[in-house]
Amino acid sequence: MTKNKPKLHFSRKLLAIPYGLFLAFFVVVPLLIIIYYAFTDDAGKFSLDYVKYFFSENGDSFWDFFTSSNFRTIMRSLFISLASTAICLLIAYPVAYIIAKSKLKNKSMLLLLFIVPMWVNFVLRINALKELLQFIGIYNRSNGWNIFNTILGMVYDFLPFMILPIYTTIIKIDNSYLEAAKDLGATGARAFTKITLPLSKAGIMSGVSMVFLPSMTNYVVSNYLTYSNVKIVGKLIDDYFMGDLWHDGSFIALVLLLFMFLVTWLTGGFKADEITETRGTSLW
Amino acid sequence: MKKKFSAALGICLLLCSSSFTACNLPGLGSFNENVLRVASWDEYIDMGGEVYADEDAEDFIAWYYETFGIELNENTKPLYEEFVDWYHREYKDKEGYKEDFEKVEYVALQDNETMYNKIKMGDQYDLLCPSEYMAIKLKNEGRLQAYSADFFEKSNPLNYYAQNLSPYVDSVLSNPNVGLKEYLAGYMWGTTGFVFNPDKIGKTKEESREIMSSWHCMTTSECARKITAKDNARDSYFMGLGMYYEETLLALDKNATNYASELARLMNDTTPQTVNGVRECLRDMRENIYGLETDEAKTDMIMGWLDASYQWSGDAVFILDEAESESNLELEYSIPSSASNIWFDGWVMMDGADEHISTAFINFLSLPQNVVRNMYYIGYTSCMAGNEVYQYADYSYGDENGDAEYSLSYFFGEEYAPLTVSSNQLRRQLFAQYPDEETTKRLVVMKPFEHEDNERVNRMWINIK
Repeated sequence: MTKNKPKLHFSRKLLAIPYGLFLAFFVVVPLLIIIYYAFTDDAGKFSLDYVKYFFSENGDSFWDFFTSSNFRTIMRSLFISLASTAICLLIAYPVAYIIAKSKLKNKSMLLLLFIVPMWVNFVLRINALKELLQFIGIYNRSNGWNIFNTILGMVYDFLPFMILPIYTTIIKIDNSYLEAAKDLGATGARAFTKITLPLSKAGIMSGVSMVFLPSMTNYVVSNYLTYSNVKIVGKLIDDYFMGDLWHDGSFIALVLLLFMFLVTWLTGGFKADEITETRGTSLW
Repeated sequence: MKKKFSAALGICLLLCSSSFTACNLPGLGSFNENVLRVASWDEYIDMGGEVYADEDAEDFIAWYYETFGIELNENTKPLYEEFVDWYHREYKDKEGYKEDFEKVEYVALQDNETMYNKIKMGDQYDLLCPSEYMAIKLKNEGRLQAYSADFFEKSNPLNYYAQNLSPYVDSVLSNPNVGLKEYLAGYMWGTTGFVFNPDKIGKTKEESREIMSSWHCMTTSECARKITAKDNARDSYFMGLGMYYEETLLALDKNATNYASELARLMNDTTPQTVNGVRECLRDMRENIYGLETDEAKTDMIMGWLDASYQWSGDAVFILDEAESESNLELEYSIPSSASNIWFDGWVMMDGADEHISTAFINFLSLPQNVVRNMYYIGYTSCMAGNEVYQYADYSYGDENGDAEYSLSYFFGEEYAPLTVSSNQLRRQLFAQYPDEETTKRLVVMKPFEHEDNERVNRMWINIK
C-alpha cells in the first residue's frame, strides 16, 4: 500500500510559500493601502493635503506642529511607552534572573506564575485593575494620576513579554563561562556585568521591542484606566478612522510605522551579524 | 535569519493590531437568495432565551401572557428566528411568496460608524438599522433602495408597520427636511439629555434641576468633575452648539411659524465661524468634566460614583431603573430647555436588497406582541403606537393612586386617555421614554454633516478631546 504512494518532494523553499502569502496579504497589501490613503485625496489623486493636517488642525502651517494636540499626543505616548518599558525591564530582569538561577527543580512552575496572568483575557484584567484603582481611590483623580495609572496598566499588561525573552536567554547561557570567570578571579558582580548581562542583551532587546511598541498603541489600557482622559497615538488613529477621516488616520499610522521601524532598527532588530552570537538563544 | 524573521513578525503584528483595532475588518458577506441579511448597531432585536429565565422578568411575562396569550420562557427563540415560521405561515399563497426562504442572518455591529465602514468596504445586507443621520448619509451616497408605495398602504392587512406607526413619528419622518420618507421605517426613537442625581448637584433638588436644564451645566462649577460627555464627534458637537447658541435659542418665539426651521438651522450649523465658537465651548467643557465615555458611565451612574451624565434616553431609562433597584438612588432625566436632539433608528434597505422579505420582516417586527418584546428587551421606545403598546406604557408607569396625569395623545392618537402616574415619573423613566408634547417642540433632528463640514467638525473634536 504505502509503496504505491507517490513521493512528495518538498524543497525548503516550498515551505516558505504559506508565510510568503501571509506576508503579502497581511503585511504588504495593508501597508500599500495605508500609503495610498495617506497621500491621496477622496478623488484618488495624489495630494499632500492630509499630510498638512497632521502638522496643524487647519493645515496651514508646519511650525504649529509643536503646539498642536497631535504633537502632545505623540510626546505623551512616547513618555508612557518609555516609562512602561523601563519599569518592565527593571522588574523583569531580576525576576528572570532569579528564576533562571534558582536551584528549584521546577523552575518552570515559577515561570508559570508570571505567565498565567497572560491566559486571562487582557480586557478583563484591565477592568479588574480599574476596579482596584477605584477602590484605592486613585482612579481618574487628576491628570498626573491618570498618566501613572496608564503606565501601571501597561506594565501589568506587558510584563510577561519582557520576562520571557530575558529568561530564555539567561537560562541558555553556558555555565562554563561563569565558572571560567570565577576561576580567573572575577567577583560575582563582575561576572554578571561582563558575562551574563552582555549575553542576555538579545533577550533585553527583544523584550524592549515587545513592550515599547505595543504600549504606544494599546489604547484599551489608557481608555479604561483614565476615563478616556489620556489619549495615546493608537487612540488618535482610531479617532480619525471613526470620524471618517481615513487619509489623516493613514498618515499618522504611517508616521507611527516609521517610528517603530526606527525603534526596531535602533534596538538591533534588523542586524544579521548577531546571528552567530545569538544562535540557540533566540526566542519566540 | 531568525532575527529578520522576528523583526518582520513584529512589524506584521503591529500592523495587524493597529489596522484591526482602527477599523475592525471581519469577513464581508453578500446578498443571498434565500437568506435575509440583517445588521443593526448594537444588539437590537429580542434574543429570547435567558432574559425570560430571569426572576425580574416574571411580572412582565405574566402581563404579556394576559395581554397577548403568548407564553415567554427560557426556550423562547430570538425574534428573527421566529420570523421564518411566521413568514411561511402568513405569506403562503400571497403574492411574491418565497417557498425556499430559509433564515435570517443577524449581525450586531459596534456602532453606526462601524456599519458605514463595513458597507464602504463592500459588505452587503438586505436590511440595516442605522440611526437617522447615517441613513441620510447612506441615502445621499445612493446606497439605499426606497420602499415601494405598497409598504405604506394601510389597507393591506399584512402591513403592520403602516397600521401601527405612531402619528408623531410619522410626521417627523415625513418632514421633507429630513428626507427619509420612502427610505426609512422607524424602529426606535428617543431624545438626548442629562441623567443626574438631584441631591448631588445643587444645594436643593430645585436648584439641581435648574442647573441641569441648561447646556451650560457642562461648564458650571457645580458639575465640575461630576459629569461626563459622550466620546463621539456628533454628540459633542451638538452639545457644543447647545452651549454656543443657548441664549439665541431661548430668545426664539416658540409660537412663531418659523420656530421649527430656525431651531433646525441653528442646531445644524457647521459654518467655520460657528465651529470656532463651538470649539471654545467644548474646550471649557473638556476641562470641567469627569471624562468622556461611550458606555462606562452607565455603571458609574448606577453605582452612584458619578452624579451626572449626558445620555440617550433609552440608556437613561436603564440607568434610572437600575440605580433605583441596585443603589436605591432616585435619579432624574432632563432635556435642556433651549433645544435637544431627537434621534431615530430605523430599517433601511440596501440597494439590491430583497424587498419582499425585507418588508415582511419589518411588518413582523411591527406586530404589537413583537414591539412589546423588543421594547422590553432593548429598553428603548418603539416608533410603533397601538393599543397594546399604550397598555405596556400604562403597565410600566401607570399608578392608580398617582397624583398626575400624563397625556400621550400626540404619540398614540387623540382617542387615548392620559395615563395616571405618580408625579415623579414626569421627571423620570416615563418622561425619558415619552417626552411630553411641549418638550417635543424643541427637539431637533441632527442631520449628517456634509463632507467638508464633517472633516472640519471631526478634526476640531479630535484636537480638543
